[in-house]
Amino acid sequence: MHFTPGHDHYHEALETGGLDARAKIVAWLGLAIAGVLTPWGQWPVLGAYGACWLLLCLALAAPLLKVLRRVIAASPFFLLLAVLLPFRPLEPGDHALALGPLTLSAAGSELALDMAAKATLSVACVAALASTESLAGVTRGMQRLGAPALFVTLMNFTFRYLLVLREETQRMKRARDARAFGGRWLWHARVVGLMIGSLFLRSIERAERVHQAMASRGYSGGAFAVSSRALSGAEWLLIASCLLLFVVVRLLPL
Amino acid sequence: MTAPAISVKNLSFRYPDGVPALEGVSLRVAQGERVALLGANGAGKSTLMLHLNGLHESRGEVEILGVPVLRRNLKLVRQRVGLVFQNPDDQLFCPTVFEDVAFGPRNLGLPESRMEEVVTHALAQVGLPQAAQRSPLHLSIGEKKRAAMATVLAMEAEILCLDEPTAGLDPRGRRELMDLLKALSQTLLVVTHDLELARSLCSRCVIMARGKVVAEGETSDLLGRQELLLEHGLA
Ligand SMILES: Nc1ncnc2c1ncn2[C@@H]1O[C@H](COP(=O)(O)OP(=O)(O)OP(=O)(O)O)[C@@H](O)[C@H]1O
Ligand SMILES: [Mg+2]
Repeated sequence: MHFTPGHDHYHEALETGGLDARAKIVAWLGLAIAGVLTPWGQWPVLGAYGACWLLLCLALAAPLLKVLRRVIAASPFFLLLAVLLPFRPLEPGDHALALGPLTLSAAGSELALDMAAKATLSVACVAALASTESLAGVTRGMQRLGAPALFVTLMNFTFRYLLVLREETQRMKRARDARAFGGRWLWHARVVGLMIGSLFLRSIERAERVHQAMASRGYSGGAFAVSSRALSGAEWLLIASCLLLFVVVRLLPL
Repeated sequence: MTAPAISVKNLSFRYPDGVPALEGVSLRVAQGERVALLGANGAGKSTLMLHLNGLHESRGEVEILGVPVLRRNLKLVRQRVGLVFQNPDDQLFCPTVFEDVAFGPRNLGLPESRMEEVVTHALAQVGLPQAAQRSPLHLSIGEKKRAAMATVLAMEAEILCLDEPTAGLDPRGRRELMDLLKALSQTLLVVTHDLELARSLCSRCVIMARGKVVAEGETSDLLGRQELLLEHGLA
């Protein structure tokens, strides 16, 4: 999920009278779940969910281009699996498809397409959520929605320590480059190896000090304290209409 | 007799790797007093600070306003003692400065309706009124130092422990911070290498060396003893 330093979408949203993270989480995750639960081979329904995605993006003013770029950037990871499926051995009831010199399993191909479509839709939902809400906002929203405290804490700390790790890496790289790092690859590899080792040590020690600093400001474990407000009419409307839409799409004789 | 703000008796502490950081330290700070904690690098000043918030467990007694720093009192103790860490990177960890300053008050249960006001006030106090929506990662070191200070001011603790608050500040920032500290009514324990700051702010000084308190007394008296300062790497 993305995180824009220096930009708290959450407060901005609150200040500009935007929607609470909870409403957005329910809308986007609802769509992803509806998509994944679509039975096999119901292409029109999946297509309609795709249209819902576009509609929601427009309704919530998600930056479409940015979101699509993110989906494309992430696609190799989730499409890799699907690429292998058509090559599975033929099973009874299946038939072969010829693709040049290759023989593909028809059932495997359809399964691959189905998986790819669903994965793309889910990733697109998460990417859209991430572009309309900061990660801090999402975790707070999850917490207010009643997600288990352990889950929320884990998310908060993962986020927190990822930042520590990133920061430490940046500092070490800077320190290294400032001392004219370069030259032969063997030397290079050795330095990188040493850096990774010390990155972990430094990160662990920093994580410990960060935890001390949090404790000294009254943090006693568990989820971070959040304040809550009642959902507004507009937010309830968004939640209700999204859920209704997703159910109706599924039940329509498409 | 009212309890001292800070009372440390015979405190000893070793880091897990065996480094003896504190060896029988005793220290007393009365309520409302401003004390400077001086000492060369590695003397154990920061380590002592962490003990005032119960962040290390060790042998010896630490009491805050008469309350022993024990596991069951940690919440109360941390509410009363605000600690500004030496390295601001350890202290700042939220996506925005606003969130970071709000972290402590939120943990103390401050209602959200007052948050804006408290955070804005704290940031104004340290001279960072424009930084609320910026990322702490991208502040300069001096700005980080000020932001870290704000995170603790916002908690309105009765005792403030500051670890080198003027390190990295520009001259104006340093002067403004000194003015701010002078205007505060809280008890102050300030770790510093800035003798000027100690002179103008603190009535009493404590000098540490190699894990021990080696001298303490009136600022004007102690800081006038050149051979003492030289011996402990302060001049
Ligand atoms: N996490 C740690 N693990 C092991 N040893 C440590 C650790 N932190 C500090 N020390 C050691 O404990 C001793 C006291 O350190 P401390 O940080 O308290 O010094 P200090 O007086 O704050 O110094 P400075 O003026 O440089 O900030 C030093 O010898 C230091 O090397
Ligand atoms: Mg120190």
